[in-house]
Amino acid sequence: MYIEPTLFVRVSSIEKITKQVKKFTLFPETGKELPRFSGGAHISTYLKIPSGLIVRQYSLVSHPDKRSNYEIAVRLSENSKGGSLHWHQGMKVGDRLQISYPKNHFSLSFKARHHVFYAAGIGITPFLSMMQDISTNRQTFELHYASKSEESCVFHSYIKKHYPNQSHFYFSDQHQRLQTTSLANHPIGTHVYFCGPEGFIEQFRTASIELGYPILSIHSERFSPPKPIVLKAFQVKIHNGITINVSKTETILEALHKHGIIAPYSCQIGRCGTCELPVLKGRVDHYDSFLSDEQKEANNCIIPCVSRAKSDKLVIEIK
Amino acid sequence: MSMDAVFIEGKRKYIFCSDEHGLRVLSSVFENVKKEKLAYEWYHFSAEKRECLEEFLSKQKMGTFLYVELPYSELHTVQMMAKRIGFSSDETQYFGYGEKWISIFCCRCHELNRAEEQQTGLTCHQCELKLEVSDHYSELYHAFLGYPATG
Ligand code: FES
Ligand SMILES: [Zn+2]
Repeated sequence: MYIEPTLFVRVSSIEKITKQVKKFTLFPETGKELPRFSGGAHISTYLKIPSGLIVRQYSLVSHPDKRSNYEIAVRLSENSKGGSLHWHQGMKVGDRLQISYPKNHFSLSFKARHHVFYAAGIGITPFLSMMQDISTNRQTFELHYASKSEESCVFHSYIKKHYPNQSHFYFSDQHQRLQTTSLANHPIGTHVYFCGPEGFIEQFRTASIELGYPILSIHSERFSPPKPIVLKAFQVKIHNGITINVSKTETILEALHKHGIIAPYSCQIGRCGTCELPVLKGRVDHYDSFLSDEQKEANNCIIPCVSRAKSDKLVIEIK
Repeated sequence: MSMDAVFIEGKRKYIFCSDEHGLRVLSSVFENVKKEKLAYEWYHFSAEKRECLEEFLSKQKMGTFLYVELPYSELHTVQMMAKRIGFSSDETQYFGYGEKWISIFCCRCHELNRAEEQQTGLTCHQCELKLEVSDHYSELYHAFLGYPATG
């Protein structure tokens, strides 16, 4: 399987920060400094478990200038396919793993006059390093952070202590709701950033666009793949003749792997483009955030970790 | 800078900024905004009230679109001001009319000279130093800096 260039690290500490979230500190095996990253950056982590290799993306929550170690926060998800489950139950201090170099699809805009962050739940993670970057640059920002309750609010006391004037919390158990109406109050020159569950991001994106925000002033980061609207089964024919069935519940990429077909991938959320494959026949239902609109229109390639078929059959090329 | 004002849909508010002469290009867009019953505000510009404009623009919220039609002599200043406040190129359209000239600040005697937009050199009308027009724009003097011409 394809693996991008990586760094070897070991887990130096594990801290339970809420009922569902643990923070892991990773230090470089070589003892050399780790690369500096910019606010909003993430890493891919590669975990070897008996059933194979699990690749997951996590935002770096440590200070961007700190190079002796990296920190990530992992939430145990209810329907974990193994990633967060392994982090929570299998990982011990001293364990060794591979991580990618820091990558950033969610960086701060240089053009913004003011930054506003909207986070829901574990979606807070990329904003920690962004707030640290901004504080160093002396720019202005606000944080609007929704969580189920104060106890389950990740980094609550840290944020409250360091950014008392900029942060606003919304706890649903106290009937406080983070609403899109606050988007109407941001001064001209504001850039907005959304991170959280798919529905949350969509709701805020749509509301911003309806208010007339330029697309370039809206930024979002997803950690889960977008949910297709229509989920139907279809067939994928590989140009060498094999036909495989893709069920309603699996992705093309998963179906390919199940049949022992080697297909590279990394993020599995339609963002990095690693898994791109040429399409020879059939209509593609694009769900990725990697291909441009023109490329999607052209219908000659697919991001199989998230995209599906509109037609009953797709013919794709695998070398 | 495009020639025709284009109506940009889907904004919560439209601002039209011009002086009494500058209604030519903006009127069709304005009709559109009125017809669709969208929120708008006219800002009647005068050079003396530049600070008021700055204050007015700074108070605007996201989702606002700005149309400006002014003499070339004022347009650049307003454009720089709006940009500084945070209006991006996706939130603005600018139209100039009249004589196209720019101010050049003499680096020796600090006099402001007039020059045509495309002009690359001139002689300072006060100290007679030969000046080269740089692309350094001074917000303070609303002028491009003129340096001693070489060669
Ligand atoms: S694996 Fe990253 S886009 Fe598919
Ligand atoms: Zn002079």
